[in-house]
Amino acid sequence: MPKDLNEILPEFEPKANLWSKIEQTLDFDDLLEAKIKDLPEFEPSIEWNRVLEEISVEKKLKTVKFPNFIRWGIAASVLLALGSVWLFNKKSDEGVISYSVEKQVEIKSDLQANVSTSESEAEEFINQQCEEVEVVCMKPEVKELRAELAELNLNQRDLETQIEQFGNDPALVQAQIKIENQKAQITKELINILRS
Amino acid sequence: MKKISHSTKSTQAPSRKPSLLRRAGWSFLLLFSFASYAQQLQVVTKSIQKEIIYSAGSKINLNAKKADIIIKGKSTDRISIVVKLIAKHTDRSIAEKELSYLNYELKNASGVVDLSNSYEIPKSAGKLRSQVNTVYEITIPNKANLLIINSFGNISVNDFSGELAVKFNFGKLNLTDVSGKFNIESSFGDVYAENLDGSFVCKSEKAVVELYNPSGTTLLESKYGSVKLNLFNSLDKLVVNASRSAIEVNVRRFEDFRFDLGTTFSQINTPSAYREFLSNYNNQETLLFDTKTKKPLVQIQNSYSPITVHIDKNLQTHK
Repeated sequence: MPKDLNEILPEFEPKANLWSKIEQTLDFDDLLEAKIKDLPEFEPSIEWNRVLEEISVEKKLKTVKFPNFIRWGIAASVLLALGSVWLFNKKSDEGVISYSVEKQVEIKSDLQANVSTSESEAEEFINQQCEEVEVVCMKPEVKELRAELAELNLNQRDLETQIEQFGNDPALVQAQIKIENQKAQITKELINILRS
Repeated sequence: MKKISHSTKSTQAPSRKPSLLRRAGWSFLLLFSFASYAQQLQVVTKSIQKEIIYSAGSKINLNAKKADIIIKGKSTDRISIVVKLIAKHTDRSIAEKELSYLNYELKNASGVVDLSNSYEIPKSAGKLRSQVNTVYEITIPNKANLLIINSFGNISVNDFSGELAVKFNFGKLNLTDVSGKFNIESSFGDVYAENLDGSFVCKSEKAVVELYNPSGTTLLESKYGSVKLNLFNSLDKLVVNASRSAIEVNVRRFEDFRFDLGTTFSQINTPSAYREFLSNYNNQETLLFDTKTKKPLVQIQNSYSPITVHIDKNLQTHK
């Protein structure tokens, strides 16, 4: 701490007219105070309440509506994203189940009962002929056709086991018809040869 | 007050009559729809969607059972698969229960994509009461190598260019606008191919095979079936080795082709103007027609069944 402040602090000489300037300012203040009292009073044309209301509405718009919209938006998109992930996962693992209706088409299964009697008659005839006239049945053509007929019978049995599982399914019934037609054709050919 | 209540009555009164009528109408409709509902099949479908990135050269094996298969070729590097497992019954709960017996499996490992379906009917369930079916809708990249095995269902392949092998029993195979290498084996399954290009080999038994506008080289083997060929000069070479299969050939102009036809124990039917090219020796009828110019060759051998050539001036490609 220095002993003499006068040694450190700079010397300052005020301007000569300082006091008169201060006095002038004080005089002006007194004058202004006196004059203000004489000024006429005016009612402002703006309704302050309305202004306040407007401000508050604006504030509401700004603070409530906009950020909420964003907030809801974010919430919704997050939910949507999560939901789609969940849905996607569900889709790829479990599949999507849907329902509809279709008109029922009657599938007739009386095919076998009708055909089998005439068929077995024909087969009986063929077997009988082959026993009686062995030479005819030694013909390669007859051998081939009989082998084919035996294969068709096997096919038919296979199909019957399928039908036992799947019921009268349209695709299986169609297959059954195809085998029957094929068998009929082969049988006819065989009988023609055996008769001639 | 009185006036008001009166006025409300008067406004309600006219609306009550139509509401009664409406109610009657609704109940009729309900009854009717209930009656028709009883005859309707409830279809329950489980759809599974998958997408796989296809690496060139890898094999796609579709081992299907009792399925309808729809294949479409596309210039893409992805395989898009939709599998639909379907059960139908008048009682929805039965269809729903039996749908659970239908399964599919997709494996994608070491360059092989294996897709298959099965019907696992528990022994306690006995005979299925629903009609069940599996449907595949697959988009595959062109140049892919695809093998399809199926039974009792329809297969269709459209706009595909690549390598395809199909082995199937019953049902039908439809090929439209396809090119590449084809190897088909069918037993009881009909084949229809239109606008096919490349190399086509088809071995069929007890099947109807029809080709419409085959280009490139075609080899058919047919037993106990029928073959119908609609040929245009875009063909390169067609060979048919058949037995007991009725064969029909349709062409716009006879002179557009070279014919080498033969059948044993049967006959060749041809327009009268070309009968001079027929010959018969030792139960074998042949037709040799050589234009001495470079024309597509049609070579057919058959037995016990006829070969028929038709000229149809209106025959046109469906492109």
